[in-house]
Amino acid sequence: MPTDIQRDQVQHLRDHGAAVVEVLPREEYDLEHLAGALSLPLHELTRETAERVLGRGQPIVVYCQDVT
Amino acid sequence: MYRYVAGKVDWLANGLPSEGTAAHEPRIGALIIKNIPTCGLDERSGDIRRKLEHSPWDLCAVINAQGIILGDLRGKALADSPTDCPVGQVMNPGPSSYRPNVSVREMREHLTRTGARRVWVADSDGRLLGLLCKESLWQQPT
Repeated sequence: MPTDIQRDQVQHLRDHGAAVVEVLPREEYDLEHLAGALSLPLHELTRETAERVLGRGQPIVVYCQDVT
Repeated sequence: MYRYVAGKVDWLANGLPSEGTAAHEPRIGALIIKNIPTCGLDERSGDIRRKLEHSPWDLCAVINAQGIILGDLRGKALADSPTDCPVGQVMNPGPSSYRPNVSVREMREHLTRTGARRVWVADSDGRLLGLLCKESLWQQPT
């Protein structure tokens, strides 16, 4: 289960090498995303795509549009 | 694995760095006036009138201890209220507020449609950031 975090923790983790991943559709990512975030749309997400994009053992922060 | 619960809306609403085709569109967050008079719910309207007499403003944001905007006081409602009346009883409760990442273009359209001259700007938690005046929007390129 992922651990829920807030904005300041995202900044801290990002500054310490975490991968920040947007799971929204690619069009929304292209429009605007957190600086440095990667795109892994939820509907395309498989173990293979995740392993290809993300480093093993690297902390990962996922986000979508908002809490809803 | 971590989940940023408040997500992209929260990040952008707080003016944090972003990338993408829309990332460089001018935002209202850069245009807000921050030193606006504020008061708490328990203050008295007479005190607020006195406070505004010594300021260039004719309005006051009502905020709680966390800085979250609860209402506002402006114009006739403030002028006509009894001196010892608690602000909470005469304020305009729950005024609309807008996130600082709203684009200048969108806000121009909104203000043109609604006729509003000034709007409050708050972060995604409702914490007051400042006031946006219509004139400043038209002094900006989009």
